[in-house]
Amino acid sequence: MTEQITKEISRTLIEDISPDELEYFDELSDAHFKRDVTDKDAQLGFGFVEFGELATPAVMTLVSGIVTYLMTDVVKVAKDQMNDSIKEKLKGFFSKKKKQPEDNLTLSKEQLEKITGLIDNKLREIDVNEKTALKIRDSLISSFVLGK
Amino acid sequence: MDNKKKTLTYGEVFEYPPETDNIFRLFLLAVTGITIIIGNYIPSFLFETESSPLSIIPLTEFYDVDKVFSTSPDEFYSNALLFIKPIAIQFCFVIFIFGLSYFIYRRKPAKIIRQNNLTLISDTEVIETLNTLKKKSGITLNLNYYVNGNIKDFSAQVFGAGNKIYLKAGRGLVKIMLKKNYDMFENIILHEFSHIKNKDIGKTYFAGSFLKTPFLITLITASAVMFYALIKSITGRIISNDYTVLSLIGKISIYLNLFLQVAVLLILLYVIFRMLIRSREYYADLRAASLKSTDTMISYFKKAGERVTVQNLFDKLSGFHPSIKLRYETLADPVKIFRPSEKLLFINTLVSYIFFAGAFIYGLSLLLMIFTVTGYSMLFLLKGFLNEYVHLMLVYIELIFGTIFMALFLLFCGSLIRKSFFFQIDKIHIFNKYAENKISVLPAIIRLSLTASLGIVCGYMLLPLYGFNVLHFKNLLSVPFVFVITFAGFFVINYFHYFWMDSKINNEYKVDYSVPVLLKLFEGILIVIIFLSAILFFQFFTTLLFT
Repeated sequence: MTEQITKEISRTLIEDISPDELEYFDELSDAHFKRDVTDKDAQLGFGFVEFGELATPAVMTLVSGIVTYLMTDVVKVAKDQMNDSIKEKLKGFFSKKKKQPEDNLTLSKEQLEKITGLIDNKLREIDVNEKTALKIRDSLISSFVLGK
Repeated sequence: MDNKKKTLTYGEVFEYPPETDNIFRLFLLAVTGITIIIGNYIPSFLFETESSPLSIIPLTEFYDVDKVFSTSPDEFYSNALLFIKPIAIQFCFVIFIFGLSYFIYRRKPAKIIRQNNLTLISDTEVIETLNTLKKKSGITLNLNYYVNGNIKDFSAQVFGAGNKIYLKAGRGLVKIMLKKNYDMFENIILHEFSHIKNKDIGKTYFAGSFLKTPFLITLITASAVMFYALIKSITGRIISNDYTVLSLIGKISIYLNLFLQVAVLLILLYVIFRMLIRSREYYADLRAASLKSTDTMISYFKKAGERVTVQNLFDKLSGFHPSIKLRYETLADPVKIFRPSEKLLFINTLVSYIFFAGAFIYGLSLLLMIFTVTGYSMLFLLKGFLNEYVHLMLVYIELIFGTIFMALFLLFCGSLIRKSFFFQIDKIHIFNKYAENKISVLPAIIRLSLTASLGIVCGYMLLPLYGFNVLHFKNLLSVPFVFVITFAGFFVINYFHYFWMDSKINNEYKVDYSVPVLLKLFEGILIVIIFLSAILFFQFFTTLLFT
């Protein structure tokens, strides 16, 4: 269920950040949850190549981290307690077109700062080029800010 | 040289002999040396004789004219048979290990395809792009293009055996990078095709094949034979009531010592293999750089180098690729590939010593065996027809031929070692020709000669020759003497080689680093003399100090 929601949210963000990646989004997002079996140091290979122009792996990693944070610190449910209503609530945080504030949970200033810090830290760890990183950061943070 | 160039172009790198050939030669010498040493233990295991490394040296007793004359045929052939068996077994072990390595090497491509679930690339556009790049690389061979199923894999690899060469591309590389960043895609593919153009596949995959099953067989054989010899020795002493705790500990320590020596040799072999592969990565980067602009690669390596954490010693020794930082530095300034390496020269002389000592005794015994048996047979048949004087002359002629063949064999060993040995000196010339910060010649030659001598000393400690045991500390007293002698020898021949090459460079517009046959012969003989002197002086000084 967590994988499913991470995928759905990421797809929405990719539609906005890098629509040309939608062509192979499903393959890339599925690969995100699989154990990496790539031989990073193959004999007479080129060596491990990090392709920083791709937004999908970075978005998947960020969304995955944020979803885990929201579940434990904001919605306060365990992974196995995920159901459709919590799923909708989580998706609501990322939605730019918020329907209403009443039944949706909102983020406090501290929580928003925590998420921003999480995004910045992750972006430093992940291999993604500066331009794409900025685009992802803006898109993610604006989705929360607009929701407030 | 009036026409000195300021910078070394990427294409010019390939006008000089590649380091890899030297390392590959070194690898083969190491495999041969180790299999000879281990093969030497097998007869003692099979024939219930005392396990003594390279114990076939008493065979030289055959090289005795009086014996040849006076021994009866029955006795002679039965004695000869005692020696033929161990020699044949050792010889077969070396052939078996090389044969098995070759078999594994031929089957490797199919294994890679199966293990990685590779499928043939069917997209005609991708095939066309790859063919265009193949043409750009100057490759005329037919290549098989395969892809794996990992969308996150943006890398590629080449493999193969003989003329069957394969390219394995990551799915991400052909499906995403080809469209999103063609420049980077082209760099990666050109790097791979450069491995083919540089003829890396045969050498590296054959060497890699030895490090699979044959490596294990060698290690298991060594362990089994030594363990058997140890148990046999201990039980023998217990049965005959001729043991003390101290004598048993002593015996165990000797065999443990031998086992450690073999293990160190095999680890060394592994390190040389990885060194071989890493050196090819620089050449592939440089060949690819000679085919297209390097801007993308230099900026990629620079950025990636900043992100990647520093390699630890294990990664440095065991990785298939040099660090990104080193790749960046070599690409930015290709002359760095010609910086002389003391480390390589140290391993070179260490392995050469082991090969030389093993091959010297093994080859000597084998040749003596062949010549003595065939000579004796011939002489015995002619004994009734010739007078004693003619008969004696024939014996001497046979011995002269035997000696010539042995000299040629040693020269062959010398020529194998010579090429790798002097390349570090040649690199001083190449480096100084193009680099801004030139290397000081005299300190460099001293450093190289010192490390070469150190290699000989370490080779001596590793090879259990004539029952040598590092636990007998007195043996080590001979080390300083031999170190000084070999250092003096190496310094003289290195200096001679440097100045000979220097005069050649000054007289020629373009130097191809080839050496005339006579000089090769001369240098080969000098190398043989130094290695032979080291072997003999170790024995001489040890005996002298003991008496």
